[in-house]
Amino acid sequence: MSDHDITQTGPLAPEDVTADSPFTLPGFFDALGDGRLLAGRCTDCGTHLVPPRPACYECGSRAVTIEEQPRTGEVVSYTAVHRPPSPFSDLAPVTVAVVELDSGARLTGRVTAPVEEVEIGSSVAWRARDPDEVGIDPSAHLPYEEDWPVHEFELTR
Amino acid sequence: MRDAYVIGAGQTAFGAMPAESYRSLFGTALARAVESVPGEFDRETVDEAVVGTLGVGGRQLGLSAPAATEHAGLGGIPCSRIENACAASGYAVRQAVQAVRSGMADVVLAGGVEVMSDTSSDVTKYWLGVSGETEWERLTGTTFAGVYAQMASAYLDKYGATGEDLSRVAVKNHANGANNPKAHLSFECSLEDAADAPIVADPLNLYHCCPTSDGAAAVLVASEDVAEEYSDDPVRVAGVGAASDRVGLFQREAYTAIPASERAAGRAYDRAGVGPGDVDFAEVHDCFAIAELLAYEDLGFCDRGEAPRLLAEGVTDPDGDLPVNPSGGLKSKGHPIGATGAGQVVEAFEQLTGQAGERQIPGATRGLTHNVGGSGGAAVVHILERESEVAR
Repeated sequence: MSDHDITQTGPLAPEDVTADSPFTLPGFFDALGDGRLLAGRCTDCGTHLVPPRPACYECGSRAVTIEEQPRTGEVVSYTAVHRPPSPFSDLAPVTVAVVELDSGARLTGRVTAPVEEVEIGSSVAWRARDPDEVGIDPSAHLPYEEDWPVHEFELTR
Repeated sequence: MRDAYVIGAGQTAFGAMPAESYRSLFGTALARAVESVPGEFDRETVDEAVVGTLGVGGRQLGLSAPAATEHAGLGGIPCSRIENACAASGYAVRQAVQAVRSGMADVVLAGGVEVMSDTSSDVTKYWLGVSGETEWERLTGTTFAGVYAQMASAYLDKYGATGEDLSRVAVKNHANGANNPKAHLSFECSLEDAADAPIVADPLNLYHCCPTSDGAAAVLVASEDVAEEYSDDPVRVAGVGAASDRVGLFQREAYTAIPASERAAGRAYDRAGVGPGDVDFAEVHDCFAIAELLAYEDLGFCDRGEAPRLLAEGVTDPDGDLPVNPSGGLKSKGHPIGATGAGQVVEAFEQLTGQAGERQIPGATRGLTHNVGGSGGAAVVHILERESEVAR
């Protein structure tokens, strides 16, 4: 399943927004499963939208295109959740961060390192994994999310 | 547009109340609001009701408002549930003001209710998590505390603030709540107690987080055409402001501010024709200690990065220049999600009508309430004033 069209640029017609489109979560996670993190990029104001959205949440423009994102970035903020939802209890305390990728796009995700090793500005790289091998209880996922990969960040130095 | 006035407001105690249901809580809050109206007031006068609730546990997600109002003797009137996470009933009050100002109704009940203490910690976490950016924030393993903790990390890093600055919020709000017979956690705590508590999500510890509570609150909003029939000195809704923002923290332009709060406050000040310096007290949304510090800055009480100093210098203490959360705030008074915003207006009403007992701020004539949904996806600010005093 890698037939998703990443050349789509808005404004999209309703019939363009299908489960293969990265503007929908199934299309987005399908690409992530193939190792490609796709962001929307507003061609009017430059805002990154992760995951992609059909309209820019900064300026409202629908002229949003798709850009593949780099793997590396820096921690913008972080925490360690000592009492996470129970599907994550095996991973507690769960280090979570907001990361700004080298492109400027931001996303949040789990960090594999203990919180003591993380600081604002830490260099990280993301990778996509099968939720089963991460140690997250499958009950964390709603039925339509079961096939979605999970992304996580690793410290790179 | 005609003016809107608060003619009465009341609430249940907030806390764990296993013997109550959402209906009984709502009924008690309404009864107390009706009793608080100075003149003769029959609940049949209510034209319309707006009920804020998230519906934690899913107990009555559909038709929550008719289910609550029919139980309180208001059956048959137009009513609806309003959902904006923790800002649900702040928005219910705003909706009541809109209905009154537009001329569609003369007396509107804005209420809120939530029952949270009868679900397991996991279920509660889930129902708090549904107000985050679900696919992302939920599947990272974070919680609501975890999202605010990331705001706290960014704030501490940017301004050199400390855990002690966070703990001072707990110390002040618990001291205030100890004087509030309706407060959930009505005990005082020392700076040492607050500093030594177990970590929930770094850097937030247990004393930096509000409790989850049961409770209800009700506010009666009337038009200028009828307000005088019920009160010689009603509380005027001088200004209302509201704004929304991206649901996910990571998508937002700032982490060391809540932009929706700043925009909502700006609108409320503009409409009221006043500024932050004209406010005698404020009830702000301190779901986590960092949220109260951000509120000082978003509401214009001080410059960016100055909130810890404002707090440490006692400016926001009950005897300071600008008391904040005289009720104890969400931290001590409690946080029954859907009831919180209306509960803030109840406190403002009691302060402005001289009925706040040991918490009374002498000479309070203008107050501000600030209610936030999620981690800042929605915010609403009300400015309320005692017109007779302001006009002098």
